Amino acid sequence: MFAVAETYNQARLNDINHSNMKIFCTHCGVDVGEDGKTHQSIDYFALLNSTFGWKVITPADPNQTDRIVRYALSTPGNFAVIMGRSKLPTVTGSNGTPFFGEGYEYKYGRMDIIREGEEVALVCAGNMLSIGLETWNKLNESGKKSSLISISDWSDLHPEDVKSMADFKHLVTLEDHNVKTGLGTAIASAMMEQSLSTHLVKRGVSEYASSGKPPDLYKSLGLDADSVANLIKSLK
Amino acid sequence: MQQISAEEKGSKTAMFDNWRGFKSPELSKEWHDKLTEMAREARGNIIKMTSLAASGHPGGSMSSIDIYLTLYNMARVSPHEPWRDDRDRIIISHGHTSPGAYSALAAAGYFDAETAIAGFRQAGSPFEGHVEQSVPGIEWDTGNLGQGLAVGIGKAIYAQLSGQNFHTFVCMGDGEQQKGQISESRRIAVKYGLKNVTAIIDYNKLQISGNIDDVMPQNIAAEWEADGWNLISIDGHDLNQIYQALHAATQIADRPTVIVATTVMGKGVSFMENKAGFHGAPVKPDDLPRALAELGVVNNMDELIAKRAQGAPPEFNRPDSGKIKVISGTPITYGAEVKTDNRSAFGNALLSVADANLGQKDFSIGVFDCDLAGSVKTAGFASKYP
Ligand SMILES: Cc1ncc(C[n+]2csc(CCOP(=O)(O)OP(=O)(O)O)c2C)c(N)n1
Repeated sequence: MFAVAETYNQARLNDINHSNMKIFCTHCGVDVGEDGKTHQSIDYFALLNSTFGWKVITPADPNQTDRIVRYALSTPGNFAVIMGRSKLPTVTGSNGTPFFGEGYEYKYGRMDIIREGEEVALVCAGNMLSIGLETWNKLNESGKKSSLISISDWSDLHPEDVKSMADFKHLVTLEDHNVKTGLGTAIASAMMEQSLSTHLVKRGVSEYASSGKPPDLYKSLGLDADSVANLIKSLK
Repeated sequence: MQQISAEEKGSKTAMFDNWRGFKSPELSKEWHDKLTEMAREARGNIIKMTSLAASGHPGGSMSSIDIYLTLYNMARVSPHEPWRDDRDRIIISHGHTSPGAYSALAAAGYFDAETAIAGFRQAGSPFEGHVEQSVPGIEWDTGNLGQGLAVGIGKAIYAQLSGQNFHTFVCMGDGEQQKGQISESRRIAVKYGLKNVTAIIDYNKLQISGNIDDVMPQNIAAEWEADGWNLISIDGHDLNQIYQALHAATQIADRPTVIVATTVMGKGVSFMENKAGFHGAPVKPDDLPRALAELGVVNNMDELIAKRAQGAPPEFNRPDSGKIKVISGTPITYGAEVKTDNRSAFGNALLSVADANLGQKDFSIGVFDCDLAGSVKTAGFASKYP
């Protein structure tokens, strides 16, 4: 909020001037919680993606945050790393070890496939991956097979990744950002440009949220694991 | 007109070390005369440029031109190496005075004046309507008023952190002073004791809609002084006073200086002086010969029109600004059992990168937050590297 929405024109001029600015935003979207709608910035991506140079990255968990901070600090250009204040579980692979830990190499612009499945893919933006994983577990328990994908770098979706997402019959995107101008919209546009399509359901922030605990706010917006699992179960 | 003098063509080190950077307290008679002649020619070029493009901002350009000429000719900058690392930084915050900036840079030998005049505001030309880095010598693209000081202060902090001794000069308009970002920047400069930054305000008392006090009453000098800046007030058309103020500003040991330079919008052409209408409108074609005659410059508009018709001038080559030399350090891995927030992982990674680069040549890191150090997890960095 204070780092981008408040200073958008400065960010724009820095981009025009080819600066090497690094912005680290520790508060993102509805996850800000109790401070309420004036403090919940759901527009980092839309604002900075209106420039040509800024790269927006939303790390999925503390391990990926660590790698992304190091990457942004040592790479030329303007970067905005958007995090969140809620404590998150470490994301693990199917084998139970940290997914973004030892052996993981962060590659800017590539998606991560956290769980493999068929027909439906749940595509999570950044720190929504923990809710995504919770959703996937619920679906798995009820016997519904789905894929779980994490995308941290929304500004530059890789054409191959877009192509593989189009292979699913249903795509559900989950983001703590304005649903009109976020990751779901970026994927839809990138897919059409490749003459590809699929059924897309976008789940994100659809109105200014209120003040409260993030899990309660997510629930009221239909962004909690139960709501998303029910949505996915209903897809035929 | 003088382009590059013989001694300047010599060793670039000599050029920087001997006399540039306002070292001597007085402007020499020789340079005074040279700058006077350049100013006359430059005012003509401002008028020709804006008339040819049928748009642009001659008024403020003509009030700022004596300041621009003094800076681009006397500061530690080089037309041969506009981007050398140890150059003084000259930022023009009221970027609409591009005709003045381009004319002054041409006079200082950065490029040929006629190229700038003919290509001004022409599609595809580097000589854009507001100052842009596409023109050698222009440090920062501006045009959105009120932002140049913050940029200058960023550069001054960079110099302070990395132990470099270049000076940053920020030229600003007086109407521009109404923008709030300026007061935020002023306070930062004083907080960090930035003696290496100087602001120069073109106090021509006019802006687009007329008198600056009618648009928004303010007390410019008192506001800067109240924030702790060293104030020098001068006649912004007296080259000796401009030079002496810049010399004095670079001598102050503990704080930044603001030079409030009283000027005349449209200075040099009788019917343009003190007319707000010339803020953003060129001289009418019928009045052009009279304006050029008053300045005593050649009226070569026909040639310039023909030159413009040949199309936009080519781009200048600009060297790559270089790679970032930062070691990314060893990643920290949080186990499957750990539950923490990404912002804490960020704070730890930031500290770890700073540790990994400690003592590296060319590495300095400045971390800024919005008075939320605990919340945004920069406190760890702050306590280790205060
Ligand atoms: C942020 C912003 N607001 C408004 C403008 C429009 N504008 C361009 S020049 C100008 C007047 C500036 O006055 P001053 O600084 O006194 O310059 P001068 O008229 O002396 O050239 C304004 C308001 C702008 N460029 N940027």
